[in-house]
Amino acid sequence: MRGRIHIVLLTATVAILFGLAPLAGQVAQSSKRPQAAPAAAATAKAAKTPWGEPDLQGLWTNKTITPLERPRELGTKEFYTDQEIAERERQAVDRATDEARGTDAKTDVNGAYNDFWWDRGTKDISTRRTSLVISPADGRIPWRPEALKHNAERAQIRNAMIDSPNPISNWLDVDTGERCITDGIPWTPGAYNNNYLIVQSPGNVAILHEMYRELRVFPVGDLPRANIPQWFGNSNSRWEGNTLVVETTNFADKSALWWPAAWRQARPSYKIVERFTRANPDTLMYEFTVTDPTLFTSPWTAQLPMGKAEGQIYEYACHEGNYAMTDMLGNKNVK
Amino acid sequence: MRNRVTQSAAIAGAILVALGSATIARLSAGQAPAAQRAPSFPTGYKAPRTADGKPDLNGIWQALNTGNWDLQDHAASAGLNPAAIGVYGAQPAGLGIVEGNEIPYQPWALAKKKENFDKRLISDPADRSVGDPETKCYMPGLPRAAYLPFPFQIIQGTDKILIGYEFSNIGRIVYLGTMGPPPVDSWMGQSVGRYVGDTLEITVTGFNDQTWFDRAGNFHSDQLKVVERFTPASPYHLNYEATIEDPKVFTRPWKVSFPLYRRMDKGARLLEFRCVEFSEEFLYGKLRRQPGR
Repeated sequence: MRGRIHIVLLTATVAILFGLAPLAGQVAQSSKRPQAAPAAAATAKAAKTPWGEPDLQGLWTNKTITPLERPRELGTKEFYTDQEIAERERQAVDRATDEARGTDAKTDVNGAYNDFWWDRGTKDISTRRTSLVISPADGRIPWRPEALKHNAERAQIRNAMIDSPNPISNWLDVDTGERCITDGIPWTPGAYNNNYLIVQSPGNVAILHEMYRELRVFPVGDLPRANIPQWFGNSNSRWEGNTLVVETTNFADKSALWWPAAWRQARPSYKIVERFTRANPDTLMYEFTVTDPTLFTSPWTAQLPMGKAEGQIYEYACHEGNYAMTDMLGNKNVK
Repeated sequence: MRNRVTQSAAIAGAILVALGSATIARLSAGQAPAAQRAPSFPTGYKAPRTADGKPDLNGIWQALNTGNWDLQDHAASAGLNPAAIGVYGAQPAGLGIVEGNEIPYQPWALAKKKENFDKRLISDPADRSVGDPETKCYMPGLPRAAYLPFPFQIIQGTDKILIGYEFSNIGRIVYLGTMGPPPVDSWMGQSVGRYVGDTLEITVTGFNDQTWFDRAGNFHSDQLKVVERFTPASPYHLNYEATIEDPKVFTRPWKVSFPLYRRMDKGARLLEFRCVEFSEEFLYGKLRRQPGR
């Protein structure tokens, strides 16, 4: 299942990129900063838990059509106008239909996952920014050239794999997401399962991510730092005013594995600082800064307002149901 | 020589008499001998309250029993591959955690349990239902998650409880209040909790039939219903019990019970046990196209 989905994702991503290109041309001239952007955070009276800590609890979603990186053709345009947002969201609704068909047999079959599966949302982020990356100013990840070359080589191998009748010879040939382990942290929107449940107890903040049912529990305060290399590193957390600040270092070295996004792979040189702030009752502002001199020329920061999600988180038994792995390994007897 | 024997016998006799009279003295005082008295928690213990007045169960807890090997009484046994790893992996003996030590299987189900045990280490890519799900890093279900030899953390939120299990880093949501029927069967089921005095009672339904109770092959169907009770017994202990009902498999409800211990280790926290990567060779190794890679 997972294998299928990721292959489809690739196709879908290409389609979205093409879809957006003409729009980008239309809107390139207006780039004024809107007045009503994120500011509410500072003034809103912060909710507190019964024991007096800032209350981040609730079911949140980070699904959005705003991309991580600003499309190059937008240049220095930081914000969309209301009108541009309305047009982008209208197009997103059109794309997100169960009736969507591929342009040829292959894309149509790959696209068999339609909006019943997808949960990308149809909205831009509430700050109206053109990308989640807010620093550097061009809204793009400041890759070192050699890291970009590495990414391109991997993409090439992956594309060849997708077209092969025997795509893999070993489970290590697919990425950590296909293996149902993780896509890495920090969390950014994916095609589905973009839901996050936050539950707090005194001195603890727990976040359950529906995707891969990932769980992070942050003890807040002066817990001695653990020096145990892990997939999600070792986190130290503190409250700064109403903001939960989580600094994570000491990631395990998993850089020899395939990762869905190279910037998020666990490796010792990786450091992230995440900030969670209840901006208002219906918005959890999530911001993260990524540092790794081996991959990036400078630290970079992304900002992602999360909204309230409806319903509940369901159990995502990804590994338990990873029939794609056995199928891709080509066992003829697999049901 | 004879002298020595006589002396020893006399000493032994004296000891016996002394022990005997001590015992009689204690019994006549209405006391069980200290060596035979079962340890007990302080009577009348009342749990501290959370800020909103609930019994406070927050913390990192762990069972200290061998129920995951076998729910029932069992002797020590050699590891699975002593030729390769010696006594690593050998199993300690254990007092069972089933009240009365009997699991009331229907006859067909007892046969199935034995078959499960025989096939517990089989990994068949074409049939995932064969073998102990623990070997494959599948979610453990309940109540097994409570006595796996891994810690778990109770996080009592304002309107939900999250129980984080270190094994496979599972986050289990416990809803408080009323929920509809489970929307779909799942590995960990749907948990709905309520406070009854000092006790957190969680009713879990909506299980699939894929999880086991232990490595001995004890199992259930998708009709499983588990009612768990967590009751603070001291600042450092919870009494845990789980009532297990499954009319497809058992002839009556039965119960497991044991204490949970608070992890007091300095800096205790949940660490990663992301076991997928430890299971892949076992699950997929036979399907590898290029041996050695």
